[in-house]
Amino acid sequence: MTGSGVLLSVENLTTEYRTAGGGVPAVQDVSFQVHRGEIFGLVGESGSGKSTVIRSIIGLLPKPAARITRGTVRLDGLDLISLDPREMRRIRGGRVAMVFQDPMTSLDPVLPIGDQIREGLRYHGITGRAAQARVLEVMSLVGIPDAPRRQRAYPFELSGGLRQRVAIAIALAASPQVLLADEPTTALDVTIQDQILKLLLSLKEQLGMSVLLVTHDLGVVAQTCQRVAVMYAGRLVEIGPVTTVFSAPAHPYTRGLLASLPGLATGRTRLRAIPGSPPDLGSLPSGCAFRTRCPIAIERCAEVVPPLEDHGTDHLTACLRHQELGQTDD
Amino acid sequence: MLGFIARRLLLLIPVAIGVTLFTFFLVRLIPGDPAQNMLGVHATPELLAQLRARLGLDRPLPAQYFIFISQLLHGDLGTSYYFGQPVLSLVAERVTPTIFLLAYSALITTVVSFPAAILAALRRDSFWDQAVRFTFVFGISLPSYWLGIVLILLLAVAVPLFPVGGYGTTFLEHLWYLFLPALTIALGVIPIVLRALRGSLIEVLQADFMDTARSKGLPPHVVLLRHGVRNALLPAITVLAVNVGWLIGGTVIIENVFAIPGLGQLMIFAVSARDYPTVQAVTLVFAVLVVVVYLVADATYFALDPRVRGQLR
Amino acid sequence: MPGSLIAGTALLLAVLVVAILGPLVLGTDVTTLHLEDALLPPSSAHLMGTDNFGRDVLARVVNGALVDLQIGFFSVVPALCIGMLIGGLAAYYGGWADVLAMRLADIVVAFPFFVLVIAIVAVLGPGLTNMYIAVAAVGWTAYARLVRSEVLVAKQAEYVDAARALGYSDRRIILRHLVPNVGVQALIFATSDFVLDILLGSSLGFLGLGAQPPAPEWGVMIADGRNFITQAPWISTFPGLAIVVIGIAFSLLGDGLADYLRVEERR
Repeated sequence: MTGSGVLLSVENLTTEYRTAGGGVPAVQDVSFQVHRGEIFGLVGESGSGKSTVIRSIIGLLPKPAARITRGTVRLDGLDLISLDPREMRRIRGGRVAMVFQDPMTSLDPVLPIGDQIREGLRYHGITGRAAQARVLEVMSLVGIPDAPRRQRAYPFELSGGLRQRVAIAIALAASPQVLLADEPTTALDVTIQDQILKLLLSLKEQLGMSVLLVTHDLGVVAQTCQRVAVMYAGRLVEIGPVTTVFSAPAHPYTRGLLASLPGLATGRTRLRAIPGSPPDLGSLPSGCAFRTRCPIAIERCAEVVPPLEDHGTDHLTACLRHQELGQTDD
Repeated sequence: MLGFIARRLLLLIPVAIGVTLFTFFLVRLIPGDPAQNMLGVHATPELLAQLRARLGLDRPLPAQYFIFISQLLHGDLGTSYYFGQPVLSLVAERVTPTIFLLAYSALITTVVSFPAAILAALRRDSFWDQAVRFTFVFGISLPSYWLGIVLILLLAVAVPLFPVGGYGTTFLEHLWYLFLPALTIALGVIPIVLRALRGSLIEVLQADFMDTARSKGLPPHVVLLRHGVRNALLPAITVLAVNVGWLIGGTVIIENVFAIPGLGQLMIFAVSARDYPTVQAVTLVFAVLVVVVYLVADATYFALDPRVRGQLR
Repeated sequence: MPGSLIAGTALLLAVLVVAILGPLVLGTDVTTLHLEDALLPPSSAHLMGTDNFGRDVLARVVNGALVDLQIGFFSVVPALCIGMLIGGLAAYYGGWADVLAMRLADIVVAFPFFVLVIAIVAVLGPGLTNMYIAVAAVGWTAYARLVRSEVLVAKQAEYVDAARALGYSDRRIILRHLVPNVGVQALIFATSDFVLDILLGSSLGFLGLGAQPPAPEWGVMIADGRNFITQAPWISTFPGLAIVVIGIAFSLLGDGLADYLRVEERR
């Protein structure tokens, strides 16, 4: 894919949380591009900063605790971070929309779902009968049967899967270019997870929109994404096409994640978990943040933060020893 | 909605029986003979016997209760010892100022509590928030009757903006005369409502659906009012309803401070005049008021929260 | 420890010191009339002025502290004991005992608290003793409900089963195991209840239904000063402020206690 295919571009994004002990960087120097019509996966453990990345993009960081200190977010060339609140509201829901993790809590319990899908539309120029038609249209688009009747239902009357379909309908209502999905299947039953992922895939095909899918689940990435970025302790450690990254991971952290995944750990009888636990963002180790858990760390890892370097076609990794890794492909 | 209210009314029957039993036995607690109490020590035995027969005092207690209930159902609340007129007409004259005062205080409470609670919840731990929290501790420690006197001293005597007491004759006069008393009662209730509303707002502001609302591109005031306040209202209504007894109790004493011709003034007068049928009837009417408010609160809950409707379906 | 708990305790200790030592300094004779000194404004001789009978307002306010603390105590304690007993028994034995107790509580709660207390005092006659009876008759319900729900939760807890398994009698289980657990919650509630009961007691004093003149009860004093409010506002003002101070002390204490114990639980 070429540069003209880039829709959403995040450059050097750094977001800090203010705490009693000073600023804690939740996201540091993160850069990636999401192309038109692709599902881009952002993977990491909880606390790795992946949710902060998408909240930074759509301007929903908790105020006043979090703050973007550096970097740009461009949507089709338009810098979102420099927009004033009123302009940003037009983008939010209109061109960039978001689906949240838990559909049990992300819908307003006291409003009918039709109203919740409809209410954003008037702020994006769709009113009256057109808005009503759009509600029904988008409800059938996400596979909610019997839309004219169901639009009067309340969230508590729907199953978890249906609620997440409603949440997706809310996000799609004003035809956004980019859908940010924050762990959209984590709170759902396994069978429902599958349905929702298939829905996202078919929506991408039908509408040609881009999806930035945040998840901790590599299985979800394998099933849906074209490209993937792996995050660790606030930084990207590897980016590349899903097939490449999964078949030849070029960062020891990605390798560890893949090794601990039952379905993908081919030829192994025992799952290997990564020893230790993610570091506290307030007191990161010097150099590479992963070095304390890394099986192949060397002294130099403590001295420099490894930059993202080419490891092959469209494949970047932030490991000083990535070349050795590429050769020892097990 | 009608079915819901009907069901609630049905649930009230045991409470209603209990309340009438309670008020019935209340006057039976009076030491001595009611007939003697009514006629005084110099009454002749014949007169006493006559009165006892008329009041049904010569019959067994269950029969007396039955008489009490059937009279109640016919709108007969007894005859005032002091005024010598039916208690029902006395109560009817006095009930309007009391309800006016109650509604007025509830209005002031709402008008003050909501913006203050929203401000405190939005700017948590700010100066405003601390002020609101301090108001709670301070507010519930204020004796309402004393506050009333202080307000009279400040706003009716020192700076004569309001009358020192009374009720007025026209609607606008009512609003003017009852402002200070309504404010006094409201100042006692505001801290309680404010605290409840602040608490539930803080919880709601952190809810995921608020982020969903923001992610649609809604302006902040729409997010706050349509999703935030609406959801925070529900627990606050419960708190308000639970405290309505306190509100009503407040009117009894405040009516006496501000010389408002309502039920509270009638009650205290009847107590000092040992006019027991009147005390009994007013007590009963106040209980009915409380029950009505509970019903209204239930109905509001029913209207605002689809989950409650869902459970009843 | 939360700041409100420290502030509340400190304020309450200050109130207690004044209540106990104050009368020793200012004397306990606060009912003798000195008509020649009537309605004197605050001065170095009478810091809070004198009332319409020439009595020193400061001395009366200070002597009133014990009276009003006593009112709070004798209002809260019987209601607390009766409520805990009824609530505990209702929850522990369940069935008819439970239904009966809770229906009774429903009925009492249908009346406004203040109205019912006045009504009961009206038939028993004015005075502090009758007021205590009335408050106990009405106030037990809140404690009963509280204790009942706490006991219902505690009943599921393992230590009760263990005690049963060891063959302890029901009464022993209630006394030894449930009361300490449930008592903490009731204690927090009682602290805030104390404020309300002092307010109630002084209200009744104000209406002439509680403590009777010439007792130095704050509500009675406020009522006394009411007729002279324009000439001598100090007669009513200072007792009112005294109620506010004692109220704030107990409110802070209750708030702080609740915060403190809730935090302790979480740990």
